[in-house]
Amino acid sequence: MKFLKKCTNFEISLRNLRILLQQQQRRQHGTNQQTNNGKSAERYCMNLVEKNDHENYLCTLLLDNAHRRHAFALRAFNVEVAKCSSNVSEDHIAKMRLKFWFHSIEKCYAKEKSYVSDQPVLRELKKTIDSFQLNKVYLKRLVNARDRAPNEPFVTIKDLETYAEQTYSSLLYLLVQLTGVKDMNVDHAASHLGKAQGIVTLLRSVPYTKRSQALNIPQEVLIKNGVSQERVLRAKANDKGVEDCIFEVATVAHQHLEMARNLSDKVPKEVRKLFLPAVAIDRYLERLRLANFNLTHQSCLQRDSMLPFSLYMRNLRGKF
Amino acid sequence: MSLTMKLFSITRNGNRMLGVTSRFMSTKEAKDIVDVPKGYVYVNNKEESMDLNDVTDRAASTIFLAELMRGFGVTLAHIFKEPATINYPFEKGPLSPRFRGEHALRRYPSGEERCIACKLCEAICPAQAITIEAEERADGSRRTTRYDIDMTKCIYCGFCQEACPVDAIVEGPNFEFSTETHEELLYNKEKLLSNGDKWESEIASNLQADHLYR
Repeated sequence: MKFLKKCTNFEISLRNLRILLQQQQRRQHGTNQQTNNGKSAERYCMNLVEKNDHENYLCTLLLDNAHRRHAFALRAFNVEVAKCSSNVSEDHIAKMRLKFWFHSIEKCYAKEKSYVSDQPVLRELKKTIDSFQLNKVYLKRLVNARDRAPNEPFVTIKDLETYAEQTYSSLLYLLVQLTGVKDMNVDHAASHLGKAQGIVTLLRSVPYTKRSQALNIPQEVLIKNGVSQERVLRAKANDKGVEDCIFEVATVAHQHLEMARNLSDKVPKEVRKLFLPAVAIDRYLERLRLANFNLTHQSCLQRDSMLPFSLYMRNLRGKF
Repeated sequence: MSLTMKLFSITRNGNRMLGVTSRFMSTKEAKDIVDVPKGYVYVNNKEESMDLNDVTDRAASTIFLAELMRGFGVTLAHIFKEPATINYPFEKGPLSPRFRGEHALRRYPSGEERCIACKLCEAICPAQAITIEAEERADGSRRTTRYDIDMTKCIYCGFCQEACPVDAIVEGPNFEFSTETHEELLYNKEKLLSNGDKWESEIASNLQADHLYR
């Protein structure tokens, strides 16, 4: 007993020591921040994407050295914008945050110095903008598309597709611009892939956001199958109507994915790497199918442990 | 544990159990108080024999022995019972990751301050507890020269944390910051930054998410 007590005491004092050391390190970092400014911003963007958007983080890791850093800047910006409306109790707070990011885009394009150099994500974004001539419209659309109230439901599948196109396809267009490829077919594929990615993301979010926002399944589909929103949220096993609704939305995502993949011959090889998120979507849709379109099935909620391997293999074969 | 529970239930239901035994001890069978029609079952208290002998027996068993033993039983059971309280300053109760306690200003892992003086928190604060003064520096960067929170005005609504686009101001998990004077609760920037350094690991672990849901 006495020995145990001594051990815990020792542990506590060790922890205190570690905290003290950390504080000292932080203070030291503060003094030599100018020297490792660029590196730390890059790391910050990577960590942000890793924590908030793990699947796309894995996909972005497989890009070439030349593009990886800039792709992370764009993805980190997307994460910051997408985070605005989660964990917010009032709509107008989300609006304020989005407005901030919207103004920041202008600041990134402006020549004079501003607070952009103090925020790592914006600093990286500015660097990307300066070296690649990104289209401002897409960046602005990335922000504007998120400006919808969390309790505003999607009425039709078309609405859902439009939202997915504006958020996820815009990001893909921007990523394509990094490679400098200008091709109708590439844009076409990006549009379809973005739609698929957006729809799958919204579908996946249903079990997590049930309390905080409106149901992401379009009302049109719910009405057609005679299912109430409540039934979807209850998520009882073997509820035929709910399964049909989810099947219908998942089918739309799958069709877009197929259309994007059909164009893969016409997409240049360096762009195919950017379209790797298709693998993650495909694997999720397959798991959903095996789980009988039950969104709350264990296999649909857990992290996909084989994803890194299959991404790597796909990338090696030059496909998406 | 199960033994303790058994002890408790015996002491609680002792009257009924001992009542049964005392009924066996009595010489006469207890009777129903009213006449029961055929096909019905009488479930109320029975009329017990009021012979001096029986009355004395019942009184002795309830007053002296049974009550005493039950009292001892309760005491004994409480010895083995897990306490309902915690040893507060040394043990702490569970805290939600969304708990809104003392404010802190965070830094980036590189050591820079996160706050870029956008003043959204000042604008949203319903109690007007936040005061910010900022100036543009020569190199174009913008930092606060003053960031004060009046902790006695604050209503801990968490709007400042929600409004902050760069996650600079947060309400951390600390709730033990009582002071002796009012002035100590008027926090300035240094105090808030040092709070941030102190609580960074807890705050960061409370802000995690794995997947974008929008």
